[in-house]
Amino acid sequence: MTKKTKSLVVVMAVTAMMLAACSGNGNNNGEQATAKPEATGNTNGNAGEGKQEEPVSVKVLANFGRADLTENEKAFFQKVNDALNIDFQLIIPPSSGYAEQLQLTLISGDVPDVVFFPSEQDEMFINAVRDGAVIPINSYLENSENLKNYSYEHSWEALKTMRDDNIYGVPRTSITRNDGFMVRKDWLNNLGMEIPADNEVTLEQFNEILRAFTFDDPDRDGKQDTYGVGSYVDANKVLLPVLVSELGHYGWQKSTDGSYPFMLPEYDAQSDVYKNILLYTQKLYAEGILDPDSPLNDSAAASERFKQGVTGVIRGFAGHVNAQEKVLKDIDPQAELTYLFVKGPEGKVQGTGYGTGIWGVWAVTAESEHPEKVVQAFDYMLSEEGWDYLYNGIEGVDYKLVNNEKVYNPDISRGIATSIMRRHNAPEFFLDPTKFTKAELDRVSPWVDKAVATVVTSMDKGYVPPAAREPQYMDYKLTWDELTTKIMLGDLPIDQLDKARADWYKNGGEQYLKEMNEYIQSLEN
Amino acid sequence: MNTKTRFSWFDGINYLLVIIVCAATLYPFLNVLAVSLSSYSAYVENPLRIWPKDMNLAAYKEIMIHPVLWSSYRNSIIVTACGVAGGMLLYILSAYPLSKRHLKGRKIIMVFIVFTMLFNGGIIPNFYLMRSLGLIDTLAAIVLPMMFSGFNLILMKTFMENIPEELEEAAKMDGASEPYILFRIIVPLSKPIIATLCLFTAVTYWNNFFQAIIYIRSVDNWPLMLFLKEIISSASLAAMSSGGNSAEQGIMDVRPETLQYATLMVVMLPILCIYPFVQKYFVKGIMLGSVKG
Repeated sequence: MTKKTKSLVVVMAVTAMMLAACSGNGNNNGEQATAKPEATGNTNGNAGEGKQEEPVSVKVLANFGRADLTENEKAFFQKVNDALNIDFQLIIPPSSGYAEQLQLTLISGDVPDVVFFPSEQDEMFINAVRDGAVIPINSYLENSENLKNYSYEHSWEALKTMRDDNIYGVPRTSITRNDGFMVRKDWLNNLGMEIPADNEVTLEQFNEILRAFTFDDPDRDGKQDTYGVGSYVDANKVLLPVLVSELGHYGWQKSTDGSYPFMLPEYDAQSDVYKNILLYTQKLYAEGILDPDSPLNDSAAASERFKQGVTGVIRGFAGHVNAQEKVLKDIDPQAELTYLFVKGPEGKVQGTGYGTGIWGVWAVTAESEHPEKVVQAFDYMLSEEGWDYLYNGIEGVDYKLVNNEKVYNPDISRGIATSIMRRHNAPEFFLDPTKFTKAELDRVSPWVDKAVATVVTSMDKGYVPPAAREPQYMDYKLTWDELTTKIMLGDLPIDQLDKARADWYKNGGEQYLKEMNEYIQSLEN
Repeated sequence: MNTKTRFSWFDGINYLLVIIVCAATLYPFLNVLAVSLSSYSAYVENPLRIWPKDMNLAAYKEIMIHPVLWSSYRNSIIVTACGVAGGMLLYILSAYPLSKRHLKGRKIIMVFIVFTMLFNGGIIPNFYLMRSLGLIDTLAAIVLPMMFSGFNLILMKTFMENIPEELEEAAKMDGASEPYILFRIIVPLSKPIIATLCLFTAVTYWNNFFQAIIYIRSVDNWPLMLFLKEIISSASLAAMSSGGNSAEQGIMDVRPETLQYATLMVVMLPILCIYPFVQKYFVKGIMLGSVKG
C-alpha cells in the first residue's frame, strides 16, 4: 500500500469513527433526556438501611425559554427528588421547535410521563385527550391540597376538556392582572404635572396628561415630536383600543337588558360601552395624540417607540417598570418612569381578568407508570417548602444569609425553576428577588398588588364554544376585526358598528351567544 | 489596433445595476456588524445604521461566555466535518461506477437516485426511522439524512464521465487494480468537483437547523444554527406577545438586538473566512461538471 493510499484509508477510518461517535449518546438510546438534574433521590443517606426504594423516574417533556439548567436550577430539582424519592428528568427540546417535537413525540407512541401543552385549548392537547394519550388525574388530586389551594378554581373547570368531571392536567397558573400604564415621570416633572399618591387618575386627568405629552413639548427639545400614548396590534393584527375596562368593559357579565342573561359589550346593542371604547381611540388618533404608527406596530415595536421617547404612555405590566426604566436610562439618563391606573366609570380602578388562569398544562400521559408521583411532584412545588425553594431559592446556592438577610448570588438565574409552577395568590412572584433591591420592591409592589387586587373576572372563564369554530363565524370575525379597526382609525363612522353587530348575529353570532350563555349558566349553577 | 475603450450607456447602466445589487447584498451585513459593535441606545436611535456608534465589544463578550455557544460550535464543526468527509466518500464510491457506461443496470440505479430528488418519505416516516435506529438526540441524526444528495452525485458522475477512459486503460495494462485507479488517478483528477461539493455540503451542514429541531432534544447536541435560531426566536416571541402574556414570557429578559447581531456575526465567521478561498470552485466546479465531453 502506498503512502497516499494508506492516508486515504486512515481518513476513511477516522470518518467512520467520527460518525460512530456522532451517534453515541450513552446507553439511553438517544431517547431521553437531556437536562436531567444530577443524582437520584435520597438513596445516599439511606444506603446502609437497605430499605430505600429505587427513585421513581418521572420524565417530563417541557418547553422553556432556554434548555440549559443552571446549577441553582439543578439544585431545586434535586430538592424535589430528595423530598419525594423521584428522579425528575426534564426533556427540553429547542423552544422554536417545541410544537413539532411535541407532535412527533405524541404520534411516535413513545411518550414521557408528563407532556407540556402550551394551552388547554391547544388542538394537540384536545386531540391527545380524545385519543386517550392523556389521562384524567382526579383521583391523584384528592390528596393534592397545595395544587387545589394555589390554583384558580376556574382553571380546573377549563381542564375538564371533555366537559365531564374528568380533569386532564395540572395547570401552570397565570396570575390574572389588570395592567395599567407606564408613564414618563420626567416628562410630568418637566410639565409641572403631579399625579395622586395612589397612582390612580380619573379619565379627565389621564386625557390632560396625554394632551400635554403631545402638544406641550414634554421632553423640552423645542420640537413637537412626541405622542401622548402608544398602542399596538395583537397577534391577529387588530389594533388594541387605548382604554377598555377604564370605560366600563369587564368582559362577560350579567346582561342589563335581558335578551341574554350574560353578555359581552361588543355584541350588546343596548350598551354604549363598546361604542365609547372605539370612539375614545378614534378621537385620540384623529387628534394626533395616539402614536400614528400604532396600527402598524406590534408590542415590541410599540415598546421601542416608548424607549425612543416618541410616546410617553404605554400600557404594560407594573413589574416591568424597573427593567423598562433601566433601558430608558441607557438612552436618556434623565428618564424616569411611574405607573398609573385610570379609574373607571364607577370612580374606582377595575380591570377585566380574562382567560382560564392557565399558562400551559402539565398533562400526565397514559404511558406514565406512576401518575401519582407526577402529581405529587407538582403538588410539592406549591407546598410551603417547595414554594420557598422555588420563589426564594436555596440557601447556599441561590443566596447566603448575612445578618439574617438574604444576599443573592448575582450570577444565578431563576428562569426554569420559576417557569414550572405558580401560586395564583402570589403576585410577588413577578418581582424576582435577585433583580430587585428593597427600594425597588417597595416602589413596585403596591402597583403589582393593585393590578392583581382590582381584577374583575370575566364570567366566560376563557371558554371557547363550538360555534366559535364554525367557518362562517370565523370568517365574519375577520370582517368584524377589520371594521372595528377602521372605526378606530376614523375610516368608518361609528354608526357602522350597529350594522357590523347585526351582521355578526347573522353570521353565527346568535349561536355563539346561545352557547356562551349556556356555559356560563352551567358554571353559575 | 485601437484599444481605447469607449464608455457607453449600456456599460453605465450595467455598472449601476451591479453597484445596486452589491449594495443591497452588503448592506444587511454592514448593518449587522455595525449594530453588534454599537451600544443598545445607539441601536434604538437608528436601527438601520451601517457605522457603529458608542463602539464597544460588550455584546461579543456576553455571547462569548454563553455556555451553549461553544458546545454548539463544537457540534457544528463535528457535524460539518463528518458530513463532508462521509458525503465525499459516498459520492466518490458511487459516482465512479455510475460513470462507467458498461455498468449493468446503470439507468435503473440512476432512476432510483433521481426519484429521491423528487420525492421523499416526509417528516413523520423519517422520524420513525431515526427512532428505530436509535438516533434521536444524536448528532448522527443531523449528519446522516443529508449526507447523500442525488444532485451532487450527478454533478460528480458527469465530471468523472469526462475523464478520458484511456487513462484507466493504460493503468490497467500496468496492472493497476480498480481501487488503485479510483484513488490514484480518478480522485486526483476530480479535485475541482470534490472541492465544489465539499463547499456545497459544508455550507449546507453549517446552515442547517431543521434536522436539529426535529431530532435533537438535548441542549448539549444543539448545532450552532439552532442556537442562533433560539436567540432570535426569543425576540420574535416578544414581538408576538401582547398584554398579559408578556409578563410570563419574560419579555424584559429578551436579549437586545446588539446581542442577537453579535451572535449572527460569530455564527457567520467560519464560513466568512473560508468562502473567499473556495468560492471560485463554485462556478468552476459546476461548469466542469455540466458539459459532457
